[in-house]
Amino acid sequence: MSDAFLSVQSVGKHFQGLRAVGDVSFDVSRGEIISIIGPNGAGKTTLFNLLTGQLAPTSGEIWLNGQLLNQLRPDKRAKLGLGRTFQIAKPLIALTALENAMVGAFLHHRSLRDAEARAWAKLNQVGLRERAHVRAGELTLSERRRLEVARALALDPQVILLDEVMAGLNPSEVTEMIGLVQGLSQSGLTILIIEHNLKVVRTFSKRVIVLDHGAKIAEGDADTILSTPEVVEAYLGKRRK
Amino acid sequence: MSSLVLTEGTAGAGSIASLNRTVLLLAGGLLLTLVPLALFSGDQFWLNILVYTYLFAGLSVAWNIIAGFGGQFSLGHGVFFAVGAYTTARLYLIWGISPWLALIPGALLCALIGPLIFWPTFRLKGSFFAIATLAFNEVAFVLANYFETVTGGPRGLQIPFRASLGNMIFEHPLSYAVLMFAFMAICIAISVWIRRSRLGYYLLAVREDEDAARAAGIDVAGVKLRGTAVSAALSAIGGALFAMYVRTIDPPTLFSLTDVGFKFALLALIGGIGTISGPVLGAFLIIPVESWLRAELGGGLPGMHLAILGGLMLLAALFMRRGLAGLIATALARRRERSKGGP
Repeated sequence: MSDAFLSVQSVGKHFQGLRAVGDVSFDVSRGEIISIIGPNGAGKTTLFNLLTGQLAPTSGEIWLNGQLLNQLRPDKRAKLGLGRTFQIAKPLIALTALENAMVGAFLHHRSLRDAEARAWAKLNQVGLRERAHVRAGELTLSERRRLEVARALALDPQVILLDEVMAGLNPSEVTEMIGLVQGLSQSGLTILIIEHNLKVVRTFSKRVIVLDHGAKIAEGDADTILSTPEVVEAYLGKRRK
Repeated sequence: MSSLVLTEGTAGAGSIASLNRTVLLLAGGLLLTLVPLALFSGDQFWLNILVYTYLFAGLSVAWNIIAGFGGQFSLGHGVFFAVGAYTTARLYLIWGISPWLALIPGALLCALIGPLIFWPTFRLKGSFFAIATLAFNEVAFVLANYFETVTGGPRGLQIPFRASLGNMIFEHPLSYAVLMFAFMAICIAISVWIRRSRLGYYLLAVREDEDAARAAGIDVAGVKLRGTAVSAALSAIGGALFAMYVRTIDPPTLFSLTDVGFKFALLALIGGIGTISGPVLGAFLIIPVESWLRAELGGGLPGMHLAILGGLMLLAALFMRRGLAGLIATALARRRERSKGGP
């Protein structure tokens, strides 16, 4: 194990012959915000699924706060403080926004009253207070994404994994979401965020990890990353001589 | 937009004000279901129908806990109904244990075997789960015919008529109607309580999206098993009451799909699955109509009442997806909107 708060050590995932993620390692300290970027199919979401337990790694170890996560189910990991959102938002569509957040809040608050109070606080935080009694199925994409964040926050997580929470949002919604993420980071929450847009990543993230074909090809601050030839190549293709 | 806010169970769940509102609604609704009892207290034919209406309303509410809230569309609840009936009848017949006590082991047994037999099928989704649970019903039917020492085999069990409160055997059907009403009220109360508890929210989350539920720290299998245990135990109590009412139980009656296994689902579907009032509404609509049709058509056109019920269910599936409860909620919302001078 390592001293880091969240430690990913040589983690790999193979689907039969296909290597989705291979030998990825990185450490995250408490309160840090790290962006994971990479072209489509680079293995970013697979990596998240390995961290949250949706998938079991074929190799390597994942440690959170000194505890080995490898064998734990997703719900156990959530109890240990791992919150996540999904790339394709998964709101519980027949439930209201408030009830969605309550489902998360019940993890650490047994009584209805406490869970509801907690859920209200989280809806407030993501700016959905006015929409609390609207069914999740009726929310806009941007609202659904914020609702996912609220549900994850209601778990009182120590680390939150945000999977492309900006995807499909218009510029003003992106600005809102950036503000939300920055606020969470300032409150001391450890954040891992998958994001395509390098400009967006730059605004809040000191450290960026780049995945391509399932492997980590670069790691560092946004500017260094952008001047790394491998990264440019992965995103834009090889430069013709 | 506000029409969705008004649907049952979604209106501002937890606050104290809404708790008071829930209790008031519950009491009002229960009083309403007593009206026909007051009207027909002297009429044996209708009293008999009311007995079944209350009983099946309770059973459908119980089924709805795992199937409606939890989304596990079981067609195997006839098994729990039968186990409850056999256990209580057997204990009463062999040792003379009062059915009031004897219904408890039946309920406990089902709270255990329910999760046990559903365990392997919970990885199946939707209709596949339904078909697997349907198979349980058929297997149990064969077993009930086979194990004569317990079930009396194809001949069934006969409970002699010895009327007394302790024996749960009454002279007048009015007493049974009151008994079944109490059963229904208990099922509804438990259902309301679950809906407002952590388990209720977790069941809904599991129904909506299992991956999202897991990510929210929910032990999906555990939630399904707990929901099944409550649902199965209540079904067993319903079966016990049924046994003491009809006093003759045999496999074709207890494991009948049209009269037991499918009926819980049918009532909830027509009334509004996943809501609390839905299964009750369904029972109050369907059971009297069915009984009346059976009586009217039974002689000349046997089985015709089932064809009509099937047609009704088809129409419900086509034109009222959210059942009667959904229909009423939408209508109420529309009226409110109009009175607000909305669009």
